[in-house]
Amino acid sequence: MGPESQSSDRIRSAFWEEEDMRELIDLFVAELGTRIEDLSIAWQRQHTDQIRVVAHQLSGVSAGYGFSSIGEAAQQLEHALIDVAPDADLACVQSQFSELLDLCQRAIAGMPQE
Amino acid sequence: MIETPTQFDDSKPIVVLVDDCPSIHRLLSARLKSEQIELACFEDGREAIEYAKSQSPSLFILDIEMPEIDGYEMLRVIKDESSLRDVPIIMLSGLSNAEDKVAAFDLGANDYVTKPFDLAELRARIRAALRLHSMVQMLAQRAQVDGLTGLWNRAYFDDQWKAATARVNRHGGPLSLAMFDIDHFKSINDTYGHPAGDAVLESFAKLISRTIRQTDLACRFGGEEFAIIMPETSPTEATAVCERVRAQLEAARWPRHPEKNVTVSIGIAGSSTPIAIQTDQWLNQADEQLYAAKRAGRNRLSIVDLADSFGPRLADAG
Repeated sequence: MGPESQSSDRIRSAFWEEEDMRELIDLFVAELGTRIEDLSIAWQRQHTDQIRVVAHQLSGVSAGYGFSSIGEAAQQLEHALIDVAPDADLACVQSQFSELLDLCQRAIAGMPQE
Repeated sequence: MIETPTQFDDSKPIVVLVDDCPSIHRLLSARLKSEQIELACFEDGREAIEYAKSQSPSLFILDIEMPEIDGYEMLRVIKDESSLRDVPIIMLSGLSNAEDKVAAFDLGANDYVTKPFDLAELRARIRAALRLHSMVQMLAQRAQVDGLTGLWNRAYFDDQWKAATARVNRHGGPLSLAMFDIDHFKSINDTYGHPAGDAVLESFAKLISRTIRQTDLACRFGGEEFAIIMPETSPTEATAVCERVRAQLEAARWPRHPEKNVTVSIGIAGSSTPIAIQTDQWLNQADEQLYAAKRAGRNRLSIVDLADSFGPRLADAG
């Protein structure tokens, strides 16, 4: 296994060279698109719990697919949300939220184009 | 009821994974493919419990934070269910503080792995948990298993036979009992020595285990006598199974005494309908058929359909 490869606009899974992982990584990254949408909608509606659920899931599973940076960013967002009251302004976690979204988008951009 | 002692059970252990994130299911299904396990994945804890009750898993892997029923509640349900209580549990959770771990261990978890997890470590922990489960099962069974053949012993037979006849008395349905006695066994021991006799008993036990159906229960009754309890089986169906055992034993060749083959006599007592008969009487009937097979020249079956000789159970007589 190599390290996760990163550039300013792309991330590629650390497991990309493992043939039998490619299909799974493909599926995981495809679902990242849905998760970005879920996160964006929850952010607009200021739904802290929904953001926390997505962050929690990403923090647990991303490293397993070779995206440890997404996992770490999700964990930081999840931890930051612990101290946020359900009805509080989410601006205080803006930087963690943006970082996670950016990494997810770079993972999607890192996939080979058909 | 466990039909086969674990040493004859070569199926892969079932590991039940409960996690509300499908990405985890896919990841572990792929990454644990090389392990000798069958992974059953569930998002919903209740479905997992229902599945586990019918499939006797060897391990649970549980997430904690789940929407419907969380990992702690799952632990409680599993520990309250007698058939699942001894199945080891690994918690696989993003919660990494000591309180969560302590709560899980206090509720009966055997291990705790935090997400993100190291795959090699998780594999090793799964293997350790499966070893633990296998040893616990072996210890529980040791008191009920015959040391030489690995089949269930006489004490276990007595319990299970009583339970089988009680079930038929309550719910009806067919039931057959087959008794086996290896022919001229004493002369094998006397002529070729006790190790040769033991080899015959061990091989015969393996032959029975290979030949019977999953629902049948084979026991060493004592000495060179064996018994098979055959639930939901008419005397005719039991005859077909037992004839396969008889024919295969007759055809077997023995490295220690290639010039002498080994045969078995078999007595079967069964019924397709509920009958007015005591547990012991049923056993005696099978025994009588066994001796009838011996008297008739050995290496054969003798069968009685108890419905012909015993009346219907009074409750069912109308």
